[in-house]
Amino acid sequence: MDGIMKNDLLWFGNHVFDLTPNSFDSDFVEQLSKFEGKEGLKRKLFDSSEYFQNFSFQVNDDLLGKDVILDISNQQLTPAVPGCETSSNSKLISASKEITSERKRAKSSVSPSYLTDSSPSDLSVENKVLLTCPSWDGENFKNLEARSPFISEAPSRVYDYFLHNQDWSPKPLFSALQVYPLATIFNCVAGLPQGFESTVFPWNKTSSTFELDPTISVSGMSDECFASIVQKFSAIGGLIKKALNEFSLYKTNISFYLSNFIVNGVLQYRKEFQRWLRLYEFRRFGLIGLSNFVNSFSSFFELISHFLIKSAQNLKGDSLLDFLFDYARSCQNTISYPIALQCLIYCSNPYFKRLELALKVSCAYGHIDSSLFLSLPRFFPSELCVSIEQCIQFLSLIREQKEIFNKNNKEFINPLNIRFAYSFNDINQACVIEERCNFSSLSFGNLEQTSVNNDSEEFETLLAKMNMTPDFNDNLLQLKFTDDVRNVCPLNLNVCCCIAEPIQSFILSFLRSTYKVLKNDFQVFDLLNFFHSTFLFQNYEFSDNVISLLKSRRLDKSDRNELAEDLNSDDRYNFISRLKKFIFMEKEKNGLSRSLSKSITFTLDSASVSEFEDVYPDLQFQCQVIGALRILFTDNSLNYYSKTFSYVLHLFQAQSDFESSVELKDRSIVTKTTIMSWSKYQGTKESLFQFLSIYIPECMLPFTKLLKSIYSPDCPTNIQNSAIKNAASVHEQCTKAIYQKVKELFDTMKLWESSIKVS
Amino acid sequence: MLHEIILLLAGNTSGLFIEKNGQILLHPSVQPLHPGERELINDIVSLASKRKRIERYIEIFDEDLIQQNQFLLKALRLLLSKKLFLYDESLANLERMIISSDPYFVGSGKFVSLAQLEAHLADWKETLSSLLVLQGNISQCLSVASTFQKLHNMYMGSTHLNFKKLVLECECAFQKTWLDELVQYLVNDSGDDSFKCSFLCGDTKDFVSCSNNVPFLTQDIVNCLVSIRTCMLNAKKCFTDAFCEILRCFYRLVYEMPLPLTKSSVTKLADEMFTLVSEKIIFQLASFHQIFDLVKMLEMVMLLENVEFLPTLSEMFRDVRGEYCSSNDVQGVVIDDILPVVLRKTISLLDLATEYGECVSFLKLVSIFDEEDEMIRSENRKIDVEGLNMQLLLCLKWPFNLFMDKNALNVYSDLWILLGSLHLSITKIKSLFYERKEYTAKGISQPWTQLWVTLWFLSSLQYYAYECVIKPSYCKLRESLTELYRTQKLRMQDCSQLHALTLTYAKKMLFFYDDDLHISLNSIYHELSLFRSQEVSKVDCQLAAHVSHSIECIRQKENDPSYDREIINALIVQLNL
Repeated sequence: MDGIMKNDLLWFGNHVFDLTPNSFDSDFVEQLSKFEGKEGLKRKLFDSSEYFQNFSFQVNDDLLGKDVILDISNQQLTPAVPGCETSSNSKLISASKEITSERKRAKSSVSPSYLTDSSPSDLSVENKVLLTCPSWDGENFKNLEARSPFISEAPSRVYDYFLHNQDWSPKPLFSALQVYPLATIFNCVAGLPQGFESTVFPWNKTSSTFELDPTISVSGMSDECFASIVQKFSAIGGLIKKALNEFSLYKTNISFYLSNFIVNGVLQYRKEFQRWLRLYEFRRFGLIGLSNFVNSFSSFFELISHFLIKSAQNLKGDSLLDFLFDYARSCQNTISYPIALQCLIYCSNPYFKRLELALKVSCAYGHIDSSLFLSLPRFFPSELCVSIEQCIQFLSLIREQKEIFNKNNKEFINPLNIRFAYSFNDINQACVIEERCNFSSLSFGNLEQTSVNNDSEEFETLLAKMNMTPDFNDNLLQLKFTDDVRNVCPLNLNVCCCIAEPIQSFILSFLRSTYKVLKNDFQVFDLLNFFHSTFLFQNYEFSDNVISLLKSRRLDKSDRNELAEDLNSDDRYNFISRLKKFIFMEKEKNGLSRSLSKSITFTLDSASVSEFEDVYPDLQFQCQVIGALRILFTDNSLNYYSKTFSYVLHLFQAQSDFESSVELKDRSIVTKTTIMSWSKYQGTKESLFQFLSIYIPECMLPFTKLLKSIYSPDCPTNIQNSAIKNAASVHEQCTKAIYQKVKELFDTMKLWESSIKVS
Repeated sequence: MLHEIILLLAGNTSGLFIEKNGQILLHPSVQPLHPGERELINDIVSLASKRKRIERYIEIFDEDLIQQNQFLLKALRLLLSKKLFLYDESLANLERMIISSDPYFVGSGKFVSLAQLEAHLADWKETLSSLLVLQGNISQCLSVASTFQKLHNMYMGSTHLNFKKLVLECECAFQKTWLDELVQYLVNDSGDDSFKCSFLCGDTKDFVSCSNNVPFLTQDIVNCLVSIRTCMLNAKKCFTDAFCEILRCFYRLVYEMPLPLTKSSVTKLADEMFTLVSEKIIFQLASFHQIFDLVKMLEMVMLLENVEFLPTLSEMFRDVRGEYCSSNDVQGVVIDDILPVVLRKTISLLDLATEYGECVSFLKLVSIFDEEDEMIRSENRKIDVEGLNMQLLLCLKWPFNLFMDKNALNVYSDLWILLGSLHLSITKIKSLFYERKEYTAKGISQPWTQLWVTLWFLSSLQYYAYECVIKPSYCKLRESLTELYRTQKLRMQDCSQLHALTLTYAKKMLFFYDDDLHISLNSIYHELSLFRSQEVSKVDCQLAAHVSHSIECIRQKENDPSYDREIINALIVQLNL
């Protein structure tokens, strides 16, 4: 009989309980097949099964050795054969041959349904022994005389008297062989919340649930009570089984991490479970203890069930991060928050790492993986998303000048340490959280060594590397299944301090480097000065030159043919070339280097704008910049510059026209027209002077002030952030205001002109 | 059967027991039990029915319910589930003791009786009933304030120590959640604001008129918290570093708060928060120098210590109106257009911008047209510049508006009118004297003596106002501000408090509340307005009477302890001459 007990099979009449790991073998194999090719996880599953093996053997030993003996007090049977207590696991395993032979013998001696030659007397003894409850108030049996008048205080076998069927017809006492002591099937019950299948609770694949054999009753417990416990456990077990099935299928990047988190979490939960079972020896706890222990993982189960439902909606990688975030947010101030946050941290870290790496690679080599920056998670502050996009745009502009970019690319590489923090101490301590993703092979240092030749092909492979092929050896840190919510960093703080702040500082330092490059390599200030002196006529010498040119033009014209409507092409060419000369003089004066002039192109040509058609000169002075200069000199502002130039030129022209019309007239005859022309000349001159010397500097002041403040060393870092971003738009606004003002002037001048013509 | 009972208590179902009207009882078909035994078992399993009720409350909790105290109900749910977990633990412990035959529990007899079980669970019987009472009471409340009030009442009303403890525990849990929610509120602008505000102050959405506050909040704290919020929301855009640092400090402060909260501790919290905010945000944007300039401008322009301001303003007004009237016919429409121009020109002419910096942009000149508005304000207080009732307003933008509240702004406008009218009247009398020769030539005789007396009175009053009240008090204010700045103890709340003190003092000493005096002063102004346009006979002229009445009014203050006696006495002595 001992042989049977110690072995992995328990025989109860026609019921066989298989309590060894062998019964889970099919389960394991099935699970393992799902992780085919994923050796790490497979190994982990094996690790976990080892625990189970140890545990089962021990329990068997415990169960079959001591309990039975304690319980047979009423039967006055002699205690167990001395060998039973010394038989340890190792002995069992090492002497496997012996045991098998013993088992065979045992089988042959006991089991009537399998082996016909068993004696009935043996069977009855065994049944009596096993059907008493070994653990639950079995001790009461020792008192031969009852101490209490109450039947309900009597041991479980007495209680079984109350057992009844659904219709309250009494169950025949001890007649049913299906009434087992709890201890015998406890192992199966304990396997249930871990998602392990057993003969008592087989897994139904079609309905994806654990099934309970309705014919089984437990001694000392009503059927309903047992069923309600089993139901609870099987729901959890089912969840775990489903999770293992479901999450082993994910392939995309972030979902991989989610499934890895959940699968690893399940394994850790099972480990904890085994540890707990070993820690409290079998006899020291009961069903309530078990269910309490299982309940302490409820937040983890909640997480699993949440994502099981979500996974049905077929989530994509990016939205999954948002879902994780939303889940963590909804869990705030509940016990589920710690585990939700851990999940978020685990799944988001690879994403953040990838983002950082992508930014680094972009900054270092100018290869931009824009897809990563276009689909940033929703919890990123929206203005920061815009800023990042802007940075990337700037970067691509700077990259257009390869030498400059290569010279300065190190300036742009700033660390971007974004990762969610779990506890308050973790905030802004980038090193606290262990590096979970193995980047050693593709860390930035190595990238530099391999010196990418800027070949697009190579970059593709780099990006492929950056996808960070999921690694099953990637170990999850010990999860904190239960933690005080107060120790955990609130999400609000997390987003502010761990996401927004680092991104912001990254953007800020990036923009600073950009502006530094603009100043040093693109000579923004010189260019601006040049623009001011030419387009906006801020240089008196230049404007004087232009005016005198216009005047001489007027004289030439009057000399030749005063009424000539069409312009001589030579004449135009002459004028343009002289104007160009002045412009080049200005350019040299402002110290614009030759290298820079490559990125700026000027065109001085006939204007296509209709309002200039009847006015001479119909010239348009246009400028185009390429590359990084476009950061500050946008197309719009350049357009405004160009238009301002044309209008001012017209105003100069009009001024000189008025002047000449006064001068050319016979001085002795003072007509009304002369006086009008004279006053208009004065008016134009004055308003032009005011416009050039007062209005333009005043208008440009915000922009120049802004630029100066950006480059001043003592400017506070924060306030400038938005200013740095908006410099281009400020520039646009300033130039627009100037353009509008000059247009106003031009319109009034036109009115005057027509009034003179009429009179 | 003990096992079955304990399992039932732990929330499982049992075939031996039935549920009847929410009560769990032993099934009547279980025959062989003694009635006493049945009674005892039913007594024990009453715990199971209580547990079930609590569990049901936790389960059916509606997450999406929109209710002001939703977050408190969530906290209640958390508290209840924690308690249930403890209860389960104790049951598991009981089970373990029985199974392992713990000698302390089972004894040498190795026997557990029903009575023993009952005694072991007696504490929980009480606790679970208390929890049910708590839950029943709290779920009736709809607002945050009423929830806290209810808890307070329950605590005060109960004589049971354990119940009191439980209520206190619940209160602490709620306050913790409230504090968390507060920090969220302070830094987030998302969501319905008025709804969020309701957790600061009672049921009404109006801050000011609400008396039914959360017990540990006062109106001052609420105001302070609201200004902190404004600052934080503004800082979120431009001061990310500072914002994050402050947020971290907020959480630290909140976590270190001793529970339960009291008014004083929350005041301290709000104070510390505001100090942080003023240090890291407010004084970054509104530097001390700007505040200093603002104070100077208040003294010089709003209180008209700068004597050139008002004459320049009226001159400018005349000029600009003249300009506009020539081009436009409808006068009423242009007034609002020209006033900003008038102010701008005055400021540039007097070069106030260089003197007071950006602060001058807070000034706004408006005309008083609306009669109703005039009625609401004091009908006696208006300033007549060139036939137009105008008023100089202060429109402080954030963060300068933290320096003074809306009331103070109104007081300044009123004081501007008060001192402005005084100033204008004096100028008028003086001009009358200058033109005396002209009048005599025309043969118009005016009551010169009475005018002289009036001039003397008004000048004394003006001298008193500037030299005795405004100048010293504002000088002191500036000095104390500088002192604070120098010792690195500058805090916005101190600044505004100092300013409020000064303003209150000035208001009081300028007889702001004395309507009697103002009526008689206004009569003087009215009388004066009759001059120049027509001849005023000596008999009709009431100036002397009004002046003596005014002096009488001032004299009444002589023994009023609320006034600064020394200065008042000096004025009275001066007037007695």
